[in-house]
Amino acid sequence: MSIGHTLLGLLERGPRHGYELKRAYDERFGLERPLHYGQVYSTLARLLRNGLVTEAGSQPGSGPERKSYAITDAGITDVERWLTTPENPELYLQNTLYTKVVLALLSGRSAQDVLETQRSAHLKAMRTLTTRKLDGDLADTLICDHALFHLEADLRWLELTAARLDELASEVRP
Amino acid sequence: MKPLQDLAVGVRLAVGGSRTPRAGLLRLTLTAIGIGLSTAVLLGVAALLSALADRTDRTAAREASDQPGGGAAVHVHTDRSYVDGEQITVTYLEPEGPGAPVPPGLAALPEPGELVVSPALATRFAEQPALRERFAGEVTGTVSPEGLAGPAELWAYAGANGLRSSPDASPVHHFGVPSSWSDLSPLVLFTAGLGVVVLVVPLLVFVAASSRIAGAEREARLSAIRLAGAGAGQIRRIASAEALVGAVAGTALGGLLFVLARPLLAQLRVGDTTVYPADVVPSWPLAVVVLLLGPVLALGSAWLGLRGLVVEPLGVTRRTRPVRRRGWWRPLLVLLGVLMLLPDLVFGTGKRPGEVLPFLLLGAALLLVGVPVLMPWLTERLVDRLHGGSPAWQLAIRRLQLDSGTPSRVVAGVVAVLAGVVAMQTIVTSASAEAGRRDTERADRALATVEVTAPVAGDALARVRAVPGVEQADPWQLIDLDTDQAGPAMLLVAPCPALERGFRLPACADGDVFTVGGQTPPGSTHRTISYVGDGPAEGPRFTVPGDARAATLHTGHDRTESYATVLATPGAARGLPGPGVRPTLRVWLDPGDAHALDEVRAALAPLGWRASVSSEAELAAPSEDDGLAVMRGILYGGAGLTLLLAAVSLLVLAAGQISERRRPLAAMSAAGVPRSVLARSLLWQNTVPMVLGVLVATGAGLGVAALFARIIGEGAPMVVNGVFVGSLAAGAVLLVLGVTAAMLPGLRSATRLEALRAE
Amino acid sequence: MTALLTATGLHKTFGPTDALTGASFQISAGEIVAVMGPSGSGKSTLLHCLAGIVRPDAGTVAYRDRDVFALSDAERTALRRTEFGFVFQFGQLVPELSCLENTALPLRLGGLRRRAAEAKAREAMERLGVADLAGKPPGEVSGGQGQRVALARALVTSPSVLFADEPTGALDSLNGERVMSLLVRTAREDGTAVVLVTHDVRVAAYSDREVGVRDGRTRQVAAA
Repeated sequence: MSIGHTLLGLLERGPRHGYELKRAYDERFGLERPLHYGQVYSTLARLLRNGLVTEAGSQPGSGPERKSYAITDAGITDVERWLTTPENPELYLQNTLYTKVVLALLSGRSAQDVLETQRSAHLKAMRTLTTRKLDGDLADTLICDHALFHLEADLRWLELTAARLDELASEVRP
Repeated sequence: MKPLQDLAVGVRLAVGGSRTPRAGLLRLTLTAIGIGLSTAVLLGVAALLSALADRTDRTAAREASDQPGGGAAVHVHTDRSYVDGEQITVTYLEPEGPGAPVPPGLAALPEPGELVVSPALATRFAEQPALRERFAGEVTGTVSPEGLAGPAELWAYAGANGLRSSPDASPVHHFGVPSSWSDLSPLVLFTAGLGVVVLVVPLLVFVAASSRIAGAEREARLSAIRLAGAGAGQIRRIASAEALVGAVAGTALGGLLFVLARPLLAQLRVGDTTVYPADVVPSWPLAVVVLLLGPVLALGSAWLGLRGLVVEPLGVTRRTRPVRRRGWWRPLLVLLGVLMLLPDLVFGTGKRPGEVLPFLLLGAALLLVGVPVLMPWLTERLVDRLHGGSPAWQLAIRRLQLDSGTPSRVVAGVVAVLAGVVAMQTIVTSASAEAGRRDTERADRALATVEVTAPVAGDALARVRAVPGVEQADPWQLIDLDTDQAGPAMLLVAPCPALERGFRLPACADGDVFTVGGQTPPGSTHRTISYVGDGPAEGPRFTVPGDARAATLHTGHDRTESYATVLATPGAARGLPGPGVRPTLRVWLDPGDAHALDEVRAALAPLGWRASVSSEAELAAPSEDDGLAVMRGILYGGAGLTLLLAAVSLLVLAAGQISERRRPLAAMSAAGVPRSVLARSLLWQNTVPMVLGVLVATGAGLGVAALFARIIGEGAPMVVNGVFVGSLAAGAVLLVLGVTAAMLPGLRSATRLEALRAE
Repeated sequence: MTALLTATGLHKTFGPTDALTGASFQISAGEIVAVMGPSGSGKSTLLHCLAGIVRPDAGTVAYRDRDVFALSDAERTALRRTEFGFVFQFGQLVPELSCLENTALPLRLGGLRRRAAEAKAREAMERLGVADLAGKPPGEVSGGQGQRVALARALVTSPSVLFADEPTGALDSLNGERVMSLLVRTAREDGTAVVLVTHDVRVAAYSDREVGVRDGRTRQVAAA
């Protein structure tokens, strides 16, 4: 999971201090693994270097913890690209997907599109597997079926989430 | 408490538990109507039976008993005559002294010159003065109902004198003989018996069929209840309660219908037979049996419907899936019926109505029950042999092969009625055609016979001759002769002008004797036989003189004179007839004078019991005309009712079937099966059993009629009313078309594809 | 690739319910298209409109550039019988007829003699591996067998388009897989286009492309 993209996404709602970003991240996504401050600042430094964020002024008595960051246009484009790029269909990617959906909702983008894009990617993978299955032997069939069933589970989650987007939106954007 | 709750669930389901509420309600209504009508008819029959029993009791109670007894007797002489084809009975009474028995319905014996009449006769007197003139005396009272068979009976008691010394009257010490059913006319018994069968059998069949309507839906329902946790026993109770609702409603409806129809029933008359409205009440044991019959029948058929079914939570399975109808006993029933209709050949009985009637009724009943019982079996056999054909035909036939039971059960009801109706109609038509034939051939409207007592013979002749409408009147005495040779021999004593009316005579003068045929050749001597009192008695001898000449009958005369083998003028037959034989006059009336006969009767009225007038024309006029009309009404009514019920049943059945088969129908229509093919398959599906039914019914009906005609038709040819049979068949065909047409909207909606939606 | 069947701007309401609110669809010869969507989204109604079974309130359906709803009812019925084939979730076989007679039914309705129709039907049943069920009534065969007979019946006329509405909906996964692979394989061999309505992604995975339906509206899902 890309912490950089996540922090960028969180910044889209407005400039924040580093510690605010950490708190926001932990609150929403870091339930089991809260971010270290070091991780936050090293990531922010990288983003700054790449021109995706800028420093938006600092409080008196400066220090890194007093700095406030804002997202740049390039940063916005980068988040956009990341959100609309499907994750490679693999097992247990709900966490990434969940993050994408919440971020899309937070930033006012279409979470529906995120899900739909992912769905198509999944379905395409399933189609490929199905074709292999039709042309292959029983071993192929069994292997493909294993993958197909897992992908199907993802897809079910995608569909369920799609059906619950409104509910989720009211929770993440009170 | 639990069984009661099960019943409550069943009641709830029957009233509104159906997936298609209208079909459920329709089924309930149909069951109620079916059971209601049969209950009403059975109650009516029971009531009529009790009315007839009362009637029989009353007629038996007024019958003169031949038991000897002490004390004063009353002398009784009964005279019967006719008005408009109806019989008028006048009983002349003369007591020996005080304490003489009084017949029921009279307060006291009428004095000579007094007339006590039945209310119906009193009404007739008021309406027809000419009728009143036929009877001398003053009307002093009316006969009360306990002395009459029915309200329409034309009956009178007249006081008389001179009866005591007349051999025509018998002394009576008691009135009342044991009551017996055999007093009823065979026509009444036959109508009642066959009518009950014809009306009730199809209704019973419908009750049985109605429980099968929407069967699949019912099964689905029961299995859903099973899923909800009902035990097998509970299912049985619930199904019973469901059936009972219709039956109880039907029984109530039947009771109501009976109460409403009772006044009409009381007016029913078959021939001269009428009943008192107050008597039209079924005896209570019979009423209880009838009222229980509907519910018991419905329960029975519901249980039978569950037989072989295992209601499981996830559906209904048939324990023995394709129930092959074991049919051997079905043709047996029909065969037994046919044998019963050949009683003289099979059971060695005679051909007398009294003897064969039980056989005929039982046989007809067996046949009319047996044929519908045979129908489902027959349909199944036939349909199994059908193959191929157009897709529509194939669909219909396959459907029938899968379940021919239900439609043919409905049709079976129609078959029973049609067969019965065709049989009765044919018998009735043959009988009335025969009666008509006899009428025109035999009855001479311009001829009357007057029987008088010997002392007033001359007076009577003078009175008759004085009537303007009388062309000729002469003494006319037919006397039986005892002869060694086979064949009847009779002596006719009459003056020359009378003889010349019937015979070609060489020449005639008083004192001449003629022979007709060779039975009684000149020179032979014979004993005369007279019927006075109880039986034949020997009278004086008569010798045919050696100089008797031959005479021949005028052609075209087959009246009583055709039996005469020897003709004698009064001068040649002195001393004949012997004492006790009533002198007879023959009267030729003016054929153009319609009232001549009434005038003769009026002229003889002062003679009272001493003269009685009869006319062949009156006797031959079929007084059963009313009866035939009533029967025809019952036949047409019954046939119409049954066809209508059959139509409704078929419709409900088909509606249920369509709703059960919504999905396949919709799928077929979606896949491009034209609706016309589906409609035609429905048509075939209704037509095949119906055509088969009509064919079987017509065959069975004509068969019964032919067998009946053989026994009671006295050789009369069987007359088949083609119009009647044809219109019944046409009615059945129209019915099928109508039902199919009525099903089309249902079919249209079923194929309207909403049915394809998953829910 | 030219479109075989095209629908544009379809609207359809059933009483108060809007089943379709502007749906479009297109399928080319030999293509297999899955129509997906949650229950009540209108996908079955879309199929019924495409097949000329249900007339839409607005919009057109064209088969080989002919307006399907400009045809008479009889012509449309004949079109469905000759050019289209149908497989539904269940209940499409006529219970009274044997499996063979069921399969032969569309041919016989088309006027073919019984013997010829049944010979062809037997062939179709052989292809789907259900020839041994020929004489049995549909009530006595399993769900999967029944669907294969239904498939044989749908394909016996060599239709251009096969409409399949949840064809595996009533089957377990193994039988579902069998029916689907037979369906796809046979359709590919014959070049039959398939409109496959399903809510099951594993069934949809047999398709070339997917059309989503939501709230009566279609969305072409890019074959990413």
